Amino acid sequence: MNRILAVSNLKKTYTKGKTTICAVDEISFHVDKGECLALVGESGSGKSTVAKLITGLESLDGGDIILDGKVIKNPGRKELKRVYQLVQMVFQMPVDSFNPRIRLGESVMEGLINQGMGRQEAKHKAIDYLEICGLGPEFASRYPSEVSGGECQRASIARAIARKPQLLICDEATSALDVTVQAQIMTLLSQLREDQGMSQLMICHDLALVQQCCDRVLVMHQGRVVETGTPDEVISSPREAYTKKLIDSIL
Amino acid sequence: MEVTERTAVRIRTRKIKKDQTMTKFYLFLTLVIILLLVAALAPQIVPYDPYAQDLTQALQPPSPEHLLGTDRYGRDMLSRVIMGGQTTIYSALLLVGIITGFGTLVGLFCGYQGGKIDSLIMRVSDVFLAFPGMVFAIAVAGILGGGLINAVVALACISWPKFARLSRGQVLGIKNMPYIAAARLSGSGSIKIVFKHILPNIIGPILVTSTLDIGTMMMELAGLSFLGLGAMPPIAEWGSMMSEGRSMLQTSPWVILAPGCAIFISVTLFNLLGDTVRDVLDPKTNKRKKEKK
Ligand SMILES: Nc1ncnc2c1ncn2[C@@H]1O[C@H](COP(=O)(O)OP(=O)(O)OP(=O)(O)O)[C@@H](O)[C@H]1O
Ligand SMILES: [Mg+2]
Repeated sequence: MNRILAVSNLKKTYTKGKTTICAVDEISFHVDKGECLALVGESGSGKSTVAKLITGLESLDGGDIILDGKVIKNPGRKELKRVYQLVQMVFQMPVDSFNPRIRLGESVMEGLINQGMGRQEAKHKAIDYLEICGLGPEFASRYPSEVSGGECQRASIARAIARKPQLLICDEATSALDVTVQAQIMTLLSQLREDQGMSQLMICHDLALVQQCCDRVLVMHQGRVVETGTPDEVISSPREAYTKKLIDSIL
Repeated sequence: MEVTERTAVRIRTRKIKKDQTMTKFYLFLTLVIILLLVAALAPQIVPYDPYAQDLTQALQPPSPEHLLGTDRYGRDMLSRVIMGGQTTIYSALLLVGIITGFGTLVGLFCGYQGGKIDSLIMRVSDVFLAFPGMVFAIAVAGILGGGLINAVVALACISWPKFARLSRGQVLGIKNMPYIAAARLSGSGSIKIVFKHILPNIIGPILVTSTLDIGTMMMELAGLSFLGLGAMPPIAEWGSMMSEGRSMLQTSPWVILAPGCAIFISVTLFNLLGDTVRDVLDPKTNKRKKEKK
């Protein structure tokens, strides 16, 4: 099995009063081991929802998720713990994804301690991982409200990769970073792909970045996948009118 | 130039305001601690034995020997008020501790778990909240019979739903925050999430409410004792002492005024402390809101 993740006919609808929004509409795709798949699309196209479905944070309305060869269907809390050994996510709202009353280092440590690591070792590891993401040791003892959005985003990446997941989902993980730091993080992520064989699902707005770093790209529009292919194919010769519009507006 | 000056002034006034609330907080805290100490050390500091009867000294008005006079059995009122403080204040604290702890746990569980159990427990708490509290407490205390412990139990039965509601609402407010989801992704179980991530973020308003409730509970406990459903007569307790002095209001007002004033002062103190605790905990959120604007 060289697929870490395969989803088929994924469906999610939200009901607000009488209106029903189909946030994700019969989506199928897969991520190979060691591959970097990009998910692009306009705001509200359902990208974050796909990420939440894969991580079990939202319940499915239909379809299948096969993670590392096993079907995940309405997972209980036990099964989710197993899922979170394999999958980690960098949240779209980095500041909100840290408990305001817990220091960043402690938050990174939490994931390690839950994997059975001792406190002292976890502390050192947490500082190491923050360092890898470009944050000095002093950040470990800061509260989320005391760091910038970009720094929080990097701490969030540190927290996710510290648990050594096989699949990392990055929901606009570099949106608040400037070009140099972004390049640094991208290098880090590609290193992790090569060294650990980590697979990555990158939710991203920046097509230039996608072209640089990702192996394949999915274009989403109103909950559907409208186009897939290598970044070069999709960007240089888009087949769908919507993709063309998206590329024109971004580039 | 002018702008920076104005900002400086604003920062200064804000600082003064903060200093003022802190001073107030420490003042009331000190007073409450003194009150608690007096109550705790009551047996050591009373000038006379609060239970020793001396009918030759009955109903003496306040004098240098008996600062607050004596009651109809000749017992020293000051000693009885101090001794009564121990009973009244510590049962109120115990009561508030019980309802805060129990109510918060129930609210945490309901808010986090949701589903049918949640609706069931919340309907039950609605029933409790729908009754006028004191009437219900009188009924419960009546069924259980008199006695201080029973009065505490009766009031606990009717007062926990308030805290359950409060904490449940707070839990619902934050349980869908991304940091809860992130904690789950970090592999934390429900217990860790509830006690490490949810509880510390909701404890502030709960503590304010429980501090404010100490005064109320003291009144209600004294009220039950006054009605003869709480502390039983020989025990010095402010409510039952007032009840004893009821018939002598015109002839010997000190018998009812002494415990009455004691209740008034301590309830006021606890309420003032509760208010300042809120002021101390709140400015943070206010400040953040302002900065966002
Ligand atoms: N909890 C929810 N309740 C109701 N509707 C929701 C909910 N979450 C998302 N939606 C809707 O589902 C759709 C897809 O949302 P989603 O967050 O997946 O978009 P997105 O592609 O991540 O957008 P962005 O690029 O802005 O992050 C949107 O129309 C949104 O309004
Ligand atoms: Mg999104």
